[in-house]
Amino acid sequence: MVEEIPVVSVENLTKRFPGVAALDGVSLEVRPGEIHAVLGENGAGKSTLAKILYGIYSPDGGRILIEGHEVSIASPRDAMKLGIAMVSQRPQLVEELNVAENIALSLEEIGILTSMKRVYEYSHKLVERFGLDVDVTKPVWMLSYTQKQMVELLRALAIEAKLLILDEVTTYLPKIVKKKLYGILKSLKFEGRGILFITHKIGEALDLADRITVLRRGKVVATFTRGSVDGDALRKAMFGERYAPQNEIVKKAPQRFEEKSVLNVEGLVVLGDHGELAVNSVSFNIRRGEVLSIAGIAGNGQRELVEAIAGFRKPVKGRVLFEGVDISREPPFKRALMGLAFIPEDPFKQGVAVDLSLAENMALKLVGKMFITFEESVEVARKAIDTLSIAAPSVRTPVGTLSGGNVQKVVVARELMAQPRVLVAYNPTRMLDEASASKVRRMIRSLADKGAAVLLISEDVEEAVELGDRVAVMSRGQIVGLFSAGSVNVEMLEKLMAE
Amino acid sequence: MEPITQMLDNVFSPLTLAMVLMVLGDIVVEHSGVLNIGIDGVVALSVALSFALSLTTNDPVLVFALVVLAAIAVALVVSLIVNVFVASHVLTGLAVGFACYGLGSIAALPHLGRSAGVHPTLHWYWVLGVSVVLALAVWYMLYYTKLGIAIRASGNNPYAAEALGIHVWRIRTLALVAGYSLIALGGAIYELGYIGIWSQGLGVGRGWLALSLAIASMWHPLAALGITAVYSYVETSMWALQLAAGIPAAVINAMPFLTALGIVVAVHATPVKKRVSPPRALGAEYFREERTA
Amino acid sequence: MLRVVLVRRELGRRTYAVLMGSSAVLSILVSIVVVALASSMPPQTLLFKVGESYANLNTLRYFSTLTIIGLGLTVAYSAKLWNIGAEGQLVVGAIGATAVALFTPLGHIPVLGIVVGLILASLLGLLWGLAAILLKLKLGLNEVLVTLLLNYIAYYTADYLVYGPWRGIYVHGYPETDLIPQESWLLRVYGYSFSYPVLLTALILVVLVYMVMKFTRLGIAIRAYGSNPRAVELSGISSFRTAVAAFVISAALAGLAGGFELFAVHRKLVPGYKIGAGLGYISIIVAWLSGLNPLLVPLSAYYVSGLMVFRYVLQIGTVNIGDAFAQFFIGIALLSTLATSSLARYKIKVVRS
Repeated sequence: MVEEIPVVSVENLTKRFPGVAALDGVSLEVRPGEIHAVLGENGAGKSTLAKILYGIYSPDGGRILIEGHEVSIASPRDAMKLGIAMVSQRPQLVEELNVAENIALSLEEIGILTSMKRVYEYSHKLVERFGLDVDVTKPVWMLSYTQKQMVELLRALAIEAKLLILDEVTTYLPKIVKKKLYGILKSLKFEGRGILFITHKIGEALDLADRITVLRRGKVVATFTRGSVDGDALRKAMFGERYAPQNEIVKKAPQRFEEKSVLNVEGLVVLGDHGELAVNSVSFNIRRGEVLSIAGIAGNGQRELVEAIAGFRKPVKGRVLFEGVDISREPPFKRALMGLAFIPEDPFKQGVAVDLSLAENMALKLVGKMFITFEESVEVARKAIDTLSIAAPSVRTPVGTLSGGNVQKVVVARELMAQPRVLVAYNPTRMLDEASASKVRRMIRSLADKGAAVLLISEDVEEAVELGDRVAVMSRGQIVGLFSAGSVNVEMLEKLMAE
Repeated sequence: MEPITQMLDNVFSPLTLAMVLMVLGDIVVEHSGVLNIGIDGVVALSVALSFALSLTTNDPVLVFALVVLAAIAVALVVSLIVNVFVASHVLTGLAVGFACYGLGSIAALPHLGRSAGVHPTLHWYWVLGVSVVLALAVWYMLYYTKLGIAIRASGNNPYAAEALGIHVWRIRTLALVAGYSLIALGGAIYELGYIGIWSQGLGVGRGWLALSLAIASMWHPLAALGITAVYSYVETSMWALQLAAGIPAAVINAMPFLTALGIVVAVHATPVKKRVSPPRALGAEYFREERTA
Repeated sequence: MLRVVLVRRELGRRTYAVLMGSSAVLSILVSIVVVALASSMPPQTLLFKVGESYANLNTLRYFSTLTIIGLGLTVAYSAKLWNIGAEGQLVVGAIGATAVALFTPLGHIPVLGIVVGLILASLLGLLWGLAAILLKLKLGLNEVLVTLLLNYIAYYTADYLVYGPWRGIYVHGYPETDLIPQESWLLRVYGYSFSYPVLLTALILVVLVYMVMKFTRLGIAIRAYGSNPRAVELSGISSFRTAVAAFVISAALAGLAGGFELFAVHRKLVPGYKIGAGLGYISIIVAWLSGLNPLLVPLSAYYVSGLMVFRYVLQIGTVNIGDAFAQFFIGIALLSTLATSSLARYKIKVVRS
């Protein structure tokens, strides 16, 4: 029996980021002619694995072998030289150049002075061979999101890679296109290439893969072969055991809410950075004192949704109403002045001014006067520090030097101390330790009890269920389920999220 | 025939060739994403240096070669500071510019009062030929070769370019070296082929003119050829124009800048924007390790 | 294969200050060496002359103007808005001041004429900057390019005026206006080229700008804008208005300086490049060398002013290479500052791949 040498195999791969082990001793292999799915929820490490193989990150430990030889991959260029191509959810193309030019950049055999005529011919042939509907002379910015993804695929195919990595590419693709993609993948299989298919959708993994490896919290849970596993088993592997039994339904005292809602979202349609339909007609209402949680795996439109509600992204259709007033076109600062608070996902990039001190960041929002004395800004800073036990050497050091969790606490404190009437919180406890996270959840609950309307978007399903008076699930830019808290459990939600 | 050859002499004067070289050089540099604020310094330096060198040697080829070499040195410094040190393009350009002003003057001041030792004669057909060939070459390179695509990719989206396999630092260094060589040749021709003498401050402002003309032509080599030729004609005929139309010299001087401003505003205010626009990452600090794919 | 890799890092304030200080000293030494080689003047003489220049009270003439403009630029640069147009804003300020002094009866009224002239000067500078920032915020135009172009348009506007409609009657063909009325002169200290009112204004502005940037909502918002415009919006403050404010403050101060140049230095309008004299560009370096700290602007302004005076002293035979040396030195100083502040943010490693 001839032993097949895997196209790529990783042994004991480890990658650490400050405070978290993204990959912890992961081993898997992709055989020639195999579609190998990597399944996992947020933070499982699947994207990290892909980026290491493509040279964007370098591993802290472990080995990578290509066709049995150990290699080190320092950049995407190296990866491509080794025969690895990657397509991710966000197209990495130069928009001002046309399709053929983008493809030309990746092709080794096109020398620096080669005429473009050959490139155009080659690109035409590729398009025909795979039956893709794309005009290679068109500048990329003119293409739709789907077409851009097709171009990305084309580019990956052009370099005749041994291993094709697809990182969550199907989330926003229409069904027809997905079918076409599957067809292409199957023909690549016949050519003996390896495909690493990264997804959080169980159905896709079951449809396509020869083998499925499930990752959770940076570790391999198990590798299954086709036919030996079903959706439920995969889900259990993906999400694992919770400290509360998954099928328990947490009973909550039924709440009575006023009829009129404070925050209305009507038919909201929002485009992503590359033209994709990130939010595909979403509607909901939140009443005074109510918490609406939206659960879902990252990359399904949550970011674009909160940005549209907070005012940092313009919707192409639909409205956002604040106490009956249409704020869809208002700039964020006006919404803030009206009483809308926003806890963004990335406190460094979106929440605070990293060069300013803690005191100044707090004072800017919370001290409403023109002249702000030093004492006043220190006072609000102290209050924040006390409330959330923020570990800061001094209120005057630049906020950017604090750890992620502490910066998140600063943002939470600042937004909550402003006594908002509507709070939009996106993963407010993601970087926090358990104790602080509990504290924040209690603060959010008490804010709602005092009459605020809260929209909580959380990738932590348990948190969504614990805090929400109603819970929804967001998938592929739409709300696919809306339940009152007493009628749903974590397992049901996970099922919807991974569909 | 006389008046026609006279006009051709004016349209395709050594000034035209000098300006075309500078503008094309600037276009190459800026397409790669480097905001070329150092251009005025390089021009002033090459003007002064070519003057000084022409008085120490009579070989025109040697003079040009040395001036180009000096410009390449400056290009390498700019590349180092902008790429490796990730400094602001603007400040780097200003700093290099000031240093170049100073260096050039220091080299040329000892020879103040003499006239240049090298006087290449540049007939109009020569100027026309070289300008057209050069513009076509730059155009072809930028839009029909992989090198040109790599340059334009670096100037539009260096992060994507890197993910696609381009070594952005290397490409930008190449563009800087090539571009500055052209600019320096332009400066040398301006001094030796057009002015012939030197005074402190000669050439200062020429670089900004070239920059403005590059902007006005939306960084397209062929458009640049046309616009630069027209501008040079206007400048050389300035006095005649003044008498004929009574337009104050100041207005004529301001024309390239006003035109450049007008064109940039017009392009950004209309849907034309995406079709013809400045390189999107022009002037943006590129921190290579921060890739987000 | 070797690769150069940058890694972000944080340096303590003390280390950073030491680095900046040593780069400043190093720049002086490098430049002195270069000039000594070029001029065959012994380094000791050179150093002595440098010292002489710094001790000369005429530095205050440059100091005042550079401080005023430099302060304004620290405001704009704190918001990461690259106002390169101080030169043009200065020129239009001078134009405005000339208009009041020469073409209104106020020109003959002491004090009032100057005050109104300065107000108009600041206003025109402000408008010149407003055009650029609006084009950036509304159309996405690169403010560096726009302000640079506007500089030249300002130069030629002044040129047009002094060669044309405003050309003086008593100037015998020179491209300049008549002298402004005596009542509109800001008097200089006897024997020197600087003026107390300008100096005083500069010093007051140092304190004022510092207080505004540190202790007012606007100042904090401006600095926050430079760090993260979103944080400004989340705090309930319009980032648009904040950006405009930062930019026009710097433009207005440059215009004010232009007014002062007219009343205290030139006393008539001259061609653009002479009125500006590159001071607008040099102020950029002054602002940068001060690390965008208003309290340090006087220091960096003085550092550069000494150089400006030194120019007149540096003779080689009959040729004055002072300007050249000053320019070269400023370039080197800025380059080493750039390299130093980069080293403060990133560590440069060479790795094998």
